[in-house]
Amino acid sequence: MSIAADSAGVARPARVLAFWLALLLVPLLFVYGVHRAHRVLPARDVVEVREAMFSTQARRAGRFESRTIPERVALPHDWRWRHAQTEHAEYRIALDFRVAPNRLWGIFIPRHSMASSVYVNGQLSQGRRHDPPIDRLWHRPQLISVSNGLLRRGSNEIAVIVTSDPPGAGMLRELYVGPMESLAPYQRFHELLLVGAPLTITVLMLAMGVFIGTLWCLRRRESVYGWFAAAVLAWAVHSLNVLVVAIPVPSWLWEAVRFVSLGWVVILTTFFVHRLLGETHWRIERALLAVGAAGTVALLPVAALARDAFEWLAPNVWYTTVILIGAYASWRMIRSFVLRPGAEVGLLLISGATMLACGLHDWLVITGRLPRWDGYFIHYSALPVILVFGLVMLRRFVVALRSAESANLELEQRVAAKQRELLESHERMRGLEHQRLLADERSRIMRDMHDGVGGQMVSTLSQIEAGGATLGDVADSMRAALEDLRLMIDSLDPEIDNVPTALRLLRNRAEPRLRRAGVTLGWEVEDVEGLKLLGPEATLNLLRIVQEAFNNALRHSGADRLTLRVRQQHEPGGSRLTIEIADNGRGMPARPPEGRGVRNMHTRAAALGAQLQLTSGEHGTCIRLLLTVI
Amino acid sequence: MADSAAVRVLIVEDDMPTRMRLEGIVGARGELELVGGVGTLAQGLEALRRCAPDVLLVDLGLPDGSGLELIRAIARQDLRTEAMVITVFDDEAHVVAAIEAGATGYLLKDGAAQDVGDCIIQLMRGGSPISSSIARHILRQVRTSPQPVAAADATVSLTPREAEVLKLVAKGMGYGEIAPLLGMSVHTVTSHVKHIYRKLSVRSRGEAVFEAVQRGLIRIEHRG
Repeated sequence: MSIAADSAGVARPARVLAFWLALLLVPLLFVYGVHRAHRVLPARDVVEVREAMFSTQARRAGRFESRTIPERVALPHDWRWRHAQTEHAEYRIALDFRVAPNRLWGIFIPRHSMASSVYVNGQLSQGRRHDPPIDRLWHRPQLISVSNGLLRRGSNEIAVIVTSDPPGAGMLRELYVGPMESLAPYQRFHELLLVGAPLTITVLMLAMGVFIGTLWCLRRRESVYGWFAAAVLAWAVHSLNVLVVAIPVPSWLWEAVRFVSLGWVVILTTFFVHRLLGETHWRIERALLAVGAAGTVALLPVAALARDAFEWLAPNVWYTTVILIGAYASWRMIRSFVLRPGAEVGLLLISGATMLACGLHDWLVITGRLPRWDGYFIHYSALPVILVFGLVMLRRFVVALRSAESANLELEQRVAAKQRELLESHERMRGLEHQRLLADERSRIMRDMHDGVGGQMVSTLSQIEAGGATLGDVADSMRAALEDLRLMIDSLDPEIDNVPTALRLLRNRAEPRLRRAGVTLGWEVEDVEGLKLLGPEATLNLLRIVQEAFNNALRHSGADRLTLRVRQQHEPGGSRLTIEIADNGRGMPARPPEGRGVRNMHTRAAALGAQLQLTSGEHGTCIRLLLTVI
Repeated sequence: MADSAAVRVLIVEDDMPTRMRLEGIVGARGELELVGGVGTLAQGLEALRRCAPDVLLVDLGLPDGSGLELIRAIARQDLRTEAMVITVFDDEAHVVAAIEAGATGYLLKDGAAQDVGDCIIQLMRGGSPISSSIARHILRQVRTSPQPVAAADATVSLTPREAEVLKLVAKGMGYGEIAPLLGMSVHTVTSHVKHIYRKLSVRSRGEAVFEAVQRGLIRIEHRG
């Protein structure tokens, strides 16, 4: 996957302009929006507490002792700069009521750091641990209900004791005191803003990371997915900072991990950007890895051993470096977009810029250039990333589906075309085959005409011309020619494809003639229906041989009985068929004149692939045809 | 002179020697009486109308038209004449066309005198000749015909007996062989063949009224 490979859509000037506008406005609006969300606060029916008497506290044996003289401070108040080593502080707030509150009241603290206990008129209304481990409640709005009757007419005092771990991170925003029903909606809103939203975003991000990571496992070649999943993982670790209240490790380590993980988010994202754009920057990536490793290795011991140094190094050096890396990644995307404008890189760039804007905001906060009241914005900046990345993945999925579909369609069309081609060529072949068959059949019929009727007529004609033919001879000859023609017609019938049927046809034709000549025909034909002859030519050859045998017997033998026998013997590899025409005549002379008839019989037997045996004796002549049929 | 029971035969054949030979054969048989011998379709139609013969021997290839016209004229004029087509070969094309037109027999032009006479007399007694190739042709037609879908569809339907006869003829068996095989007389076999011919002609005949009348008489269940 790389953007360069599929710069989507044609970049029109109006679109490009809209993009630059969006690139400028979306991050600004996003940061402003998150900022405004933090300022959604109660305004009616409540007392807004904007000042307090502040004193740092020391904790000895579970009790607090003032270390400094209370001073008047404005709320919100951040003691990071003036009391960097202070762990505990007390804010005393004086409230005068002309009428005693007659409903359930509460105190709403939108944000403080890290944990606090609240006393109303000396009575504990909400207690927290002030000894390690300190709960990290800096991202949790607090709504404390005040028991009925505790707030009196006249002067009241609210004391908020705040504990910070690490020291110096203490902070208290302005307080809102009023009826519970006026405060509760704001509590819910801030819960959503500070807890619900980051949690949802992190879960979504993790889900996407798991999905894309799985994708990468299946398609290792596409390392872009792998880097994205890794960045998401680092992101999830960093998000723990706002989600976890009771940390399982010392606060110094937690803080160090928080900074380091953000660094890795940006480094891994840069790797992802490189691959997304289809660019290779080995040196830069090696340098980034070196920076990441150095930061990780350096920050952990510093955080453990030299907290002051960490407090300065982490925001000013490390965080600044991270911001610069983020800016570099954004620049890469801008450059790519300028060269090859495309929807995907454009959207990713906008989401990246939003992230960078949030990072810049946080950098300003973390380095003390902006107040801490609104917390950090980076946690929210993953939302556009999720949206854009989800959109991109969806689009790629659809594009892949579409291209698969069109590939399928093309394949189908090609298959159909091929099929058509095959069919056409098949038709052509069939046509050719048909023509060949016709030509074969035509030439066979011509050959048969020559062999049979033609020859007979020529021979008769010669006899007539020579004056040696009697009318009877001519009639015989003509009758024989007609019989041969009938044999030819029979042989053309495709259904006469077995020996018994063919022989019966011959018998039907010959019988009247034999009867008139006073010859009886013995019929000893086994029913060998299954025996197929090999087409019209073989049929005709067989019939002509038998016909010739009949004619010879009639003409020369003087027999009064002819017998036709057909026997079938099954043998391995086929069937042996014996066709026998025997007469009871006087037999042939010792050296029979090799007449045309006998010669023809031999030729036709050879064409049939059969063996012809002629035996003759005083009991008659027997012509035997041996045929192997598969 | 022939007696009153003699079969009256009309011959329509354009080939003079063949006609003369056939006329000779008919004239020589006492049971047969030659009522005319003509060489054209027109003369044939005229003779048919005038003499109403018992048997018509007709050649298909006449100089002024097809002999089939003559065969059809028999049905049109409601005559009781039996038509026999005169043919050189007993292959299906000629003979089947004649049978569909209404002929109930055929004669081979070169048939021996005895055979020709026997054949005509057999026809008058209710038996028709058939060749193996004609039998196969009819079987093919019956096999490929669909079952009758409506009364108006006059598909040839053969009785099982008729089908058996045809199958054996198709195998090349003669009447003499078939009769004992099916346990019937030779005469019964030949009359089966005649029935089959009649069915064929009814199916192919165009006249709807005639067909409707005939169907009731010859309609036979179709099996296998």
